Amino acid sequence: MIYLDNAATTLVKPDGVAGAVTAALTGQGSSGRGAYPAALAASRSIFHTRETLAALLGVSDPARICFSANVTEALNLALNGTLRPGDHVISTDWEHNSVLRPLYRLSGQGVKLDFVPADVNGRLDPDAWERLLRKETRAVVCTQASNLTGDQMDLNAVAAFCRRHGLLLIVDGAQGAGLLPVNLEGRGWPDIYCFTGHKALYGPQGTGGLAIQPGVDIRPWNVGGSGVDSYNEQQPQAYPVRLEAGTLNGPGLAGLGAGARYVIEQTPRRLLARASQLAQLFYQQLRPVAALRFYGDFSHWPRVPVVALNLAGFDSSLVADLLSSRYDIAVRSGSHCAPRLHQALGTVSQGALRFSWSSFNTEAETWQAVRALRELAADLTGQTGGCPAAGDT
Amino acid sequence: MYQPALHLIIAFGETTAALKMEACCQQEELPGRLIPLPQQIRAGCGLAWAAGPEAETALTEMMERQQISTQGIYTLYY
Repeated sequence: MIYLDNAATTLVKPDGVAGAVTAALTGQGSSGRGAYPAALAASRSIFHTRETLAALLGVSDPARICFSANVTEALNLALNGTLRPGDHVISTDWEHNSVLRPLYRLSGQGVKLDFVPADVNGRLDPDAWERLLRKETRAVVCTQASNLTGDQMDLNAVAAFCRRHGLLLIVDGAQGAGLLPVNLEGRGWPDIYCFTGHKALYGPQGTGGLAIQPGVDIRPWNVGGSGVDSYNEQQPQAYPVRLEAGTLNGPGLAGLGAGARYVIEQTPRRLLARASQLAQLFYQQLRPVAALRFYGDFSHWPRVPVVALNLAGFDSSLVADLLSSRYDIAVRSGSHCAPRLHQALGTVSQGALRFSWSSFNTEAETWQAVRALRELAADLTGQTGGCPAAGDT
Repeated sequence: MYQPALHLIIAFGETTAALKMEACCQQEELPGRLIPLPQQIRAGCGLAWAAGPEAETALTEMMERQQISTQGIYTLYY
């Protein structure tokens, strides 16, 4: 199989990730629930992962890395824990349902929403931020990069906007963590960075979390067992236990630690360059094929290694099924939980095909995907799929 | 050249029902396979069961017996 759905989850993990999970599963107790060696081993393993994430994301105190089951849970914690009825929030058309659905639910509780609109090419209106500002605007929540097109948010500009107006900045780092630079304390933004463990951080599914700036107050959502302060009727207020009621996913977090250490060793910049180079090869080879339509801004490389496209007017699910059944190439079709951006692009009824690379993909795999799409384009449309370029073997 | 063929497509409201469909079809040796939900049925994501149209009676009887809920059964060229 040629796996090109790394924006959903990375399938190939670095050496050490599976071993770390197995070691935790077979040799560790419950973190924070005892002082005997097996429990302490679990506590130390999770603390080590906390330190690793803190180092990667520019947080000086590992206690301000709070773990969750995934980035969706992290975003729910951030949004429900900071917004109140009457607050106004600015978000964007690029957002995933992990941001949109919590916001829509909050709007039913009195939080007011506005979205920076995307045009038919997926470009966000840069003038909209100031236009949407109100006196009750409290926060901006936005993605670091679109999960559909791979386009990167101009977070420098968004952060400057938030600073000018005293707004909280919450970033969905689902597609950015492990690939794009993040330095909370060095840059002073974002206030809350939500990440998932199982994509470009190469950890197991079921892991994610929040990185929190000093002084940012997030009300707990889940309350319950903490392993400390048991006679207190309230959830302890100190991070990270404030947001971590119940037993953590020790084996998963051990694996996340191994994945994140690999990212630090390799550096996000190098990992991005490697995967982006493959996406660029794919895009440049297929751009001349008239039957293919690409979505997003491909004027700058390296970029987040995601390429979204459609083949003429064909149902994206049909093309994905043909890629899988004929060529054993795994990609994602449909709407990618990004309904507003599909509406902006005009692709609601067709969906789109999303190809996404990790640093473990190869040039040979990318060439096979290029050839498969050329063949399919010719087969489905009855036209030749574009001239092979020099070096295409 | 790709030639669309007439298919019976069964759409589900969520993934668990689609996987129960697959398990039951394997158990009862009924035809078909899971495919991405065709966008012409419904915009969005998800899984659907695709089989030849001749299997409709056997599949719907099994679904009724196994209480597999569906969001629709379609016959279309795909």
